[in-house]
Parts: sequence; C-alpha cells; structure tokens
Amino acid sequence: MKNPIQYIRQSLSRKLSLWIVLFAAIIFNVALGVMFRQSLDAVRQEAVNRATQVLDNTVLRVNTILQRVEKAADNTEWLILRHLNAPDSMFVYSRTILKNNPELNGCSIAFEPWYFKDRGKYFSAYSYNDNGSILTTQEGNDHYEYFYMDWYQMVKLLDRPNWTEPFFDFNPEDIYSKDMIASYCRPLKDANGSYIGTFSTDISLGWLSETISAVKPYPNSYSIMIGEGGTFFVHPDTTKLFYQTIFTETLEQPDPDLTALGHAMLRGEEGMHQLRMDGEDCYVFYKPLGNTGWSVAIVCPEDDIFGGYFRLQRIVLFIVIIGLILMLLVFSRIVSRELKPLRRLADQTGTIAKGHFDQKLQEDGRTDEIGRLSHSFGDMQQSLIRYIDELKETTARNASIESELKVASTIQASMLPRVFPPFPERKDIDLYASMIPAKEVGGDLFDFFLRDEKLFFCIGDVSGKGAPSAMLMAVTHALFRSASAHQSDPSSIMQAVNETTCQGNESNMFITLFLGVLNLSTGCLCYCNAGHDCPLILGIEAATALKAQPNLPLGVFADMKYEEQEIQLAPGSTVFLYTDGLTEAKNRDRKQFGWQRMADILSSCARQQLTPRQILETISGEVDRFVAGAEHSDDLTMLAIHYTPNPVDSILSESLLLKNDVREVARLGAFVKSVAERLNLAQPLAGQLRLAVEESVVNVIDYAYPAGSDGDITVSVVADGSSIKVTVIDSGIPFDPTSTDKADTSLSAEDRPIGGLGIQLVRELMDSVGYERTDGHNVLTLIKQLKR
Amino acid sequence: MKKLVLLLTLLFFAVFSRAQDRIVFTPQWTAQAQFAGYYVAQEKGFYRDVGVEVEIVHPSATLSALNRIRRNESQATTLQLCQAMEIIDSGIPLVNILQTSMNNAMIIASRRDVDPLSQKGVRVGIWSVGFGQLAICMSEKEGLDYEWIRSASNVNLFVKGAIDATLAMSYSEYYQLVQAGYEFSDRSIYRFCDHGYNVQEDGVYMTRQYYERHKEQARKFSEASRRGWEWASEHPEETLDIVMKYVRENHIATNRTLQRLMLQEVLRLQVDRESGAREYRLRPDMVKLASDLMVEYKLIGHEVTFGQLTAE
Amino acid sequence: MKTSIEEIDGKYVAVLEGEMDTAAAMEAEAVLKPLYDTGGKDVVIDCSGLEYIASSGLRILLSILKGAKGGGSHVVLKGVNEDIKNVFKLTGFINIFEFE
Repeated sequence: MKNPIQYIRQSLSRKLSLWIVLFAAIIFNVALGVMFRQSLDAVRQEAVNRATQVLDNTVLRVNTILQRVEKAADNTEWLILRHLNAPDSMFVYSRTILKNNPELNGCSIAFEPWYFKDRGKYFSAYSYNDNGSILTTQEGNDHYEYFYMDWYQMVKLLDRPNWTEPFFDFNPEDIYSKDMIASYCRPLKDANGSYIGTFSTDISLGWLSETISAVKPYPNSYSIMIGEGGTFFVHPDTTKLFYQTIFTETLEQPDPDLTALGHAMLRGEEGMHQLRMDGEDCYVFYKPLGNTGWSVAIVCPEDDIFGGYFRLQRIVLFIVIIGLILMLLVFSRIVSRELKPLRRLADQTGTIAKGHFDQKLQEDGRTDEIGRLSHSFGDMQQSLIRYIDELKETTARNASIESELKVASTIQASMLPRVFPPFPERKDIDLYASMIPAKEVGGDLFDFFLRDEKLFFCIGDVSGKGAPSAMLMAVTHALFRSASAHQSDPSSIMQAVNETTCQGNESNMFITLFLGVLNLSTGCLCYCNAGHDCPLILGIEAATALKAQPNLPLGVFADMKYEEQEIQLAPGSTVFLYTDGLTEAKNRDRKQFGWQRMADILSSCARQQLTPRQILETISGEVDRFVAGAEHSDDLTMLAIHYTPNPVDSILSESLLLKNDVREVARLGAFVKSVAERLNLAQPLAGQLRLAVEESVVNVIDYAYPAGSDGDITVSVVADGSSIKVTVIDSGIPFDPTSTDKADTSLSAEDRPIGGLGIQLVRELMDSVGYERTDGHNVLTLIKQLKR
Repeated sequence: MKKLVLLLTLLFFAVFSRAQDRIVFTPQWTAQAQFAGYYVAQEKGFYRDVGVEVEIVHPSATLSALNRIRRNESQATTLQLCQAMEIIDSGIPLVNILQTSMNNAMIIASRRDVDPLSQKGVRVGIWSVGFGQLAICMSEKEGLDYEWIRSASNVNLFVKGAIDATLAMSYSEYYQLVQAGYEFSDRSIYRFCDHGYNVQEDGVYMTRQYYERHKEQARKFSEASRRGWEWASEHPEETLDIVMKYVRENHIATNRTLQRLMLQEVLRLQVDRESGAREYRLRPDMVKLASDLMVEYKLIGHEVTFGQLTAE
Repeated sequence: MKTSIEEIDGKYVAVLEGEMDTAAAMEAEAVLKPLYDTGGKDVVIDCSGLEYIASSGLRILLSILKGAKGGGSHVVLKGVNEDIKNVFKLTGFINIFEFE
C-alpha cells in the first residue's frame, strides 16, 4: 500500500465504510466518554464512602478500647491521690487496677525523686500482667532512672494526660515485654496542685495492630498507623515498623505529596489525599485515633478502587473497537457488493472507451440507482454505436465527396485558360474570362482559341456537381477542341460534340453549351446554342440579348439537329457570355441576382465603354455586394470578347478577275508581281506570295466549278503596313481547302501521293489561311504578316 | 608430668596472649553509623591484621559504657572530649588513644522558626547521660536562662511539644527530628561549631591504668581503627552495609536512610576545618577552649590539660 | 519558260529556265515526258536558270524521280536557288532529291 490516503480514496466502499465507522466511533466515544466520566465519579464516591465508613468503624472500635483505658486510669487516680501518705498502698493500687482491668498490661505509679524520703530516690510501684498472674515490683533504680523516661516526663512537662508513643518496653533487670506497648499517663498532683509523679497504664497494642491491619476495603489496600513522630506502628511491611517514619523516604528523595499527607495526619486531621505511594497511585483515607495523637490511614491503590472500573472500561473499549473493525469490514463488504455492478460498469465502459463499442453491458435486473445507471449506460452504448456508425458513413461519404470535389476542381482548374490577355499581338480582339468556382465544383467550362483568322469560343455548364461533372467537362472541352480543329461552322462542331457526348452517356448527364465562331476578317459571328443562356451583346448604348435558338443541351439526343445562326458583329461591340451561376446567385434572403439586374449593369458598362476585364470586375463586384457573404451555390463563369477589327486604312487594295482557266495563271503571276513591287516586298516574300496565291487559285480552277463550265474567280489583295490579305472568291461548289489533311512530308518518294501539295504550300507559306462559305461563295482568305 | 607442663604452658600462653591481645571495645551508645570505622576494622580484619583480637560490645540499659570501663569489662570506649574531661576531673584518668571527630556536631533546634538564642527561659532538652557541657556553658555565657530538661530521648518530647527546643547532634537527633516531619529553617538551628564553640567530640579512650600496661595494644587498636575510618570514608555504601548488619543484629530502631545520613555527617565532621584533612588528633587549642569554658562555668573543678588527655 | 532535254555521256540532262507556273508546267511536261522512264540512265536536271516553280512543276519532278528510281537510276538537281530550295523544304522534297 504505497499511500494509505490514495488507497482509501480509490474505493467508494472503503470511503463509505470509513466514514460510517468514523462517525460511529465519534458517537461511541462521546457516549462512552460521558458514561465513563459519570461512573468514574460514582465509583470514586463509592470508594470514598466505603473507605471512610470502614475507617470510621475501625477508629470507633479502637477509640472505644482506648477510652476504656483512659477511664480506668481516670477512675483510679483519685484513689492514689487520697493515699499519698501510704506508699505501700501504691503497690496495692497498681495491682488492683490490673485485676479490675484485664486488658491492661501494666501499670506504674511513679513519684518524683526522693518523694518518699524513706523509700529512697526512686519510687515507682509497677505491676504487670504475666499471663494472668499479676506481679508487682518497684521498678526504679540506678539503671532504670525512670525520671528521664518519656512516659514519666511527658505528663510532667505537658501538665496533662498523655498517651506515649508505642514502644517495646523493657525493664533492664528482669522484665521483658515482647509486645508493642503504649502507656496512658496522667500527672499526679498533690493537694497544692504541684506535680508529684506520673500514673501510667500500659496497654498492649497487639490487638490494635491486628484490628487496623485487618482493615481492607479493597483487596490490595492496606492500613498504616503512625505515631506523633510519624513512626510507623502499623504497616504491612514489617521492616518499617518502628524503624521508619512516614517521612523517612522523603529525607533522601523529597516527595511533597507524602510530606503533606504526613503533616496532615500529624495535625490530627481527617480526610483523603491522592498521591503516589510505592510507585502506585493511591487514595489515602486518614483519621486520628482519639487523644493519642496517633493517626490511622487506609491506603487504597487506585488500581484496586478503579480496577474493576478500568477493567470494565477496557472490556467495553475492546468490544467497541472490535465492533467498529467488524463494522468496517462488514460495511466495506456490503457496500462493495452493492457497488460491484458499478465497478463492472466502470470496467466495461472503460473497454468501450478503448474502442470496443460492442462490449456487452451486463444487466443485473436491479431497480435501484445502480440498476438505473446500468440501464442508462446500456442505452447510451447503443446510441453511441449507432451514432458512430452514422458518423463513419457520413465521414466516408464526405471524404469521398471531398476527394471527388478535389479531383473535380483540379480538373477544372487545369483545363481552363488562365492567361490574359491571351492574344496580346492582335489588336482586333480583347478577351477576358473568369471562373469563380462554387464550393462544390459545378462543372462550368469556357474555352477559346484562334484558327485561320477565326475566333472559336464556347461557354458551357455541365449538369450535376462533383467529379463526374468535372470529367464530362473535360471531355466536352476536348471534344470542342477536336471538333473545331477542322470544322469551322458551329452547327457541325456542335453536332460532333453532341454525338460523342451522347455515346456512352449512361448517367444521362447533359451539358448546356454556347458556341461561337467569329470571323475576325469580316466580323461575321456564327453561333450555335445548346440550351445555354444566351449571351449579351454590348453595343455603344446598351446590352442586348443575342437572339439564339435554345435547342436542347448536349447529351440528350444523339441525332439532334443543331442549327447555327449568324450576325454581323459591329466593330467595337463586346460579346458577354455567362453561366447561370451569375443570374442565380442568391443572397441570404434566397433572392436571386436575376437577369435584369445583370443586363442593367452590362448596359451601364457598355455606356462606359469598359474593357472586358473591367466589365467582369464590375459584375463580380456587384454580385459580391448582392450576395453579401452568402456562399455561391454554383460556379460563376463569365467571358467577354471585345471586337475591334482593324480599320481599313490600307496602303493598297487591288483585285483581279480571272476565268477558271489554268492559262490565267500567267496573268495572276503578273498581278501578284505588280502588287509585290508596289509594296516593296523583298524577293523571297514576293515569290512566296505569288506561289501561295497561284496554288490557291489553281485549286479553285481545278475544283470549284464543274468540269467544262465557266466560272469567275476574284482575287483581291488588301495590304496595310503590317500585313497582306489576299482573298480568293469564287462561286463554285462549296469547297474548304483548309479542311484537307496536311500532307505527310516524311514519306519517301515512292510513297508520296501526287496530290495535296498545293494546299500544303499555301498553308506553309501564309501566316493565316481562312475559309468561309458566304452567300454561295467560297471565300478563301490568305494573310501574310509583314511585320515581325 | 611432661603433659602437664605442656598443658600449663599452653594455658599460660593462651591466657597471656588472651590477656595481651584481646580487647573489648564498647562504643558509648547503641550500634549506629557513628561507630562505623570500628565495625569496618572488625569486619575487614584490620584488627586481625595488626594482631589484636577485638570484641565489640555495645552498652545496654543495665550497663552503660562508662560502667563497663570502670569494671574493666571493656577496655576501650568512645567518649566526647568534654565528657572525657569531666570524667578525668572526677578522678578517673583517661587516655585518648584515637581522636576521630575534628569538629563539634552539637546544635540547638527550636520548635518554632526563631533563633534558639532568642528563646530565653524556655525548656531545652538535654541528654541525661552527660553530653551537652558546652551548651550549658554557652547558655550561661549568653544568659539564656534555659530550663534544661534532662531525658533519655528528646525526640518525643520535642515532637509532642513538651519542650520548646532541644540539644541535638547534627548527625543523629537532628535527622530523627526531620524524620519526624519537622522542617527546620537556617534560623531555627543554632550550630555551636559556627559560634566559636567548635570543640572536637568523639575519640577512643582507655583508662590510664590500662593504657600504661597495654601501650602497644592501644597503639595497634588505634592504628587499625583509624584505618577502618579511612576505609569507611572511601567506601561509604559498603560501610553502610556493615553498619546495617550491626544495627540489625542489635535490633536498633533505625533505618538505612538515617544511618546513611549519619555516616555522611560523621565523616564530614572528621575533616578538620583549617587543614581540610582527616587529622585524627586532639587539638590543644580545642582542649584549652573546652577546659577554660568548663572551669569558668563550674562544670569541672580544675583545668584539664592536653597532656592529661594524651599519652605521655 | 524554256525546257530542253539532252543526252550527254549516257545521262539525260534537262535544262529548265524561267518561271514554271502551273501553265508552264503543263507545257513542260510534254517535253520532259521521256524522263519518266529513262531505262536506267541517270538524269541531271539543270535548274540554275529556274526562278519559280509551282506545285505542278514539283509534281513533274516527282514523277521523274519515281520513274528513275524504279529503273535504278539517279536524278540530280543542279543549281537550285534558295527560294526554290525553300519550296522544296516546305514540301519535304528536300529529302528525296539529290542536289548539286
């Protein structure tokens, strides 16, 4: 047990039991304490009473006898005094007293020296009782000068009757008394009141000693008697008798209590002292004996008096302690037992806490607090398991969604053009786009690229959210790119994308898409819509919606026919494309941004002649303000294209009309030559120009018109300082030379096809080759940049 | 015939040696530590060592020490100096063969907490057996007019209040009185030794008559006795054991405590005040003082000189 | 444009001078027809006077080459100027003809 406090703290049963026992102990303590205190006083009082009573009785008895002696002496005295003239009668009297008073041991009638002159110096009539017979003699002689004896002198000096101290009397000549004797003496006075002698009666004190010694109120108590000098005359320790006084021990080892007791006794007081005698705590009851000046004391060791009491106390205490210990053990056990389910519960919940949620909780069918607790725990466990399972599901789901979204947004982000301005070298086009993704990737896409003097652009919105949408977006983007790589009309592009999208579209996802092809030379905008929001055209004054047939979104019907439309885009106008993330942006009141609001803002932008970037920033700002912190639920995508074609301040503008006859080539060559001269073109350039134009025209000659028929071919050249634009127009069958495959120049001679060289040369030699079919004409536009 | 001569010779030697080497020593009072040195010499064989056979016989009620000396039943006894001087003055020449006490041990103890000398005319206990000469001289000198109460034992009289004060020996009655429960203060005890009456007390005496014929024996006895006292001073507890043996044998009513205190005091009194050593000799100055006092107050008729007390 | 063929040292030597546009190429083709099948004889075409060639002309050269290769003979083009060489490069003909 390293730490008892910890040990107790850890167990409720120990704590409880300890508290109970502690409390019980306190109560016992108090109760027992009171009881014992009361009974102690009672016992003490009883002891005092008893001892005092015994002492009183004893003293009374002793006093009775002593008084008898005194009386005998008193009664006889007058006789002596009456017959002072007859010394011999003294012998008779001393004898008679003894006869009449059997308890007397001896008797002396002693006179002052030379009182009876004829009798000599000494005269003391002494009788003593020798086993029944009385012997009388004159006891005074040179060896026994009774004048100097205590018994004789005391009454003379004190002038009153006196008891001598007990002594072992002996007469030197032939008389021995073996007992302890005490004498009661009276002074003898003559008629004048002068002292003439001492009358003394002796009494054996054997009986006294026995009587006093027999006083034993308690088994270990004993009695003592001391004389006027404190000498022990009765004492259980016979070695002390006569030899020691009550003060003897205090001579070498002071004992104030004992000294006080001694003095009290010597003063003739009666009472009780508590002190330590012979190593024991004692109660000493003392009382004086009559007129003797002696004092009797009963010494009662406390152990005796309270022995029984203390024994009882010890037994009771022992019982109480055993009882408390038992109580502790029993309660400990009981409480422990009652709390066992609690412990079990604690262990089991511990196991559960470690993660073993299916740990069985034991039912023990109790209905008390513990039972209820068990039950509640069981319930809690069940809901915990359920909750955790749900949580696992949700977390997994969220995680997958999260990862999906991550994937989606990564795909989206990596795909969309980010660099602006995208065509910094071109003056006729300014383009800006932004895509603000929603929290969950919405699948918006936009794209644009330049090919053959045409700007291909699109904006779209994939249905759904998450990775599948992002995938579809990516696919759509790729399709757009590949479809518009060799097709220039929106409807075919759209159709191509649609067909592929519909293939394998088991999830029935669809895409809204708006597609446009802007001919930068002519400003002609061809477009096709597949269920997308119509863009707006920002003119000088206002923004108006582009009229476009909605058609159906891509991915719905594989054989859907998509019709294209075209308008002429006025120079200086801006095409604004958007997804519904803009118009459907909600604020906290769930109100939508709305088409009108957007249109109004765009009109304002148009009036301000803002650049695409500025337009987008304005709209963004307005949306942010409107939304005011609410989250976007959908991607917000915008694309703005500003068209400012080069002004026609050309240096040169010539055209040539040809017949579709190969022989016209010479004329063509001359024409081109003259143009080159006019433009001061360097030779390689001039030659290249001529070759490109010749090849283009020859193509037309060869294929445009049906064989044998005549047709016109117009070759126009427009040049400014920076570029030459050659336009070849014919009204033959639609033929797009740009849609043929490039020749494979890596083939060996044997493998090279004969045809296809011309177009290839045109492509290689010119910077830009564009084809358009307009109003029944093939329009081939060749541009060569002059400035590098 | 030869046997007879042998027998007689043996008898002669026995008697002679007996007469020569045997000595009966009677201390002046009953067995107590006051005579410890002699008991020690006896028990430790110091007497035997010097070739003297000693029998210690204590006085009885019937036969006092002095009487025994007079009847030659004892050859040596202890006496106080003043007492010895009285005896010499009364016509019995004595010789001091060993002086043990170097100081006076007598005191006057008053029952009340007052200077005993202030209690003029009161009853003062005095030994009936003949000590107290100095006290009588002093009281007459100081004009105290004491009523001397002669008795065998003053203790009980004192205790009972029959006397107002008592003479006591500082090694004996004094302790008995204390043992009886009396508490004395410095004021209630008058010490003769502190007031110019420091006259030696105990010594060993023989009759001059005996002494003259047994000088060698006396010398040996004295030497051995002195050795006994020396030993006692060095081994007080063992000495106490020896004393208690004699006490018990003689049924004396005393106890070890009193004897111990007595032995302590007696040994202390054997140390001379001036020299600080145990001198074991009579001091002529003390002899002169005592003699002068006793002559002055008529306790003795003629001066007793130092020479009278000592050998040669 | 002037076109001529000679047989010199067992080789055919053709000389092209001037500008071979599409029309001129058609006319030249007739002259150069024998070169389509030389019967193993090498062909040297002198282009040092040639200033311009269109894709038709290139086609003729290619035919000549094909024929020659089939017969195991070589075709060498001599004195092709930089502009025309550029055209050869653009069409990849630079790799299939031998130049001098």
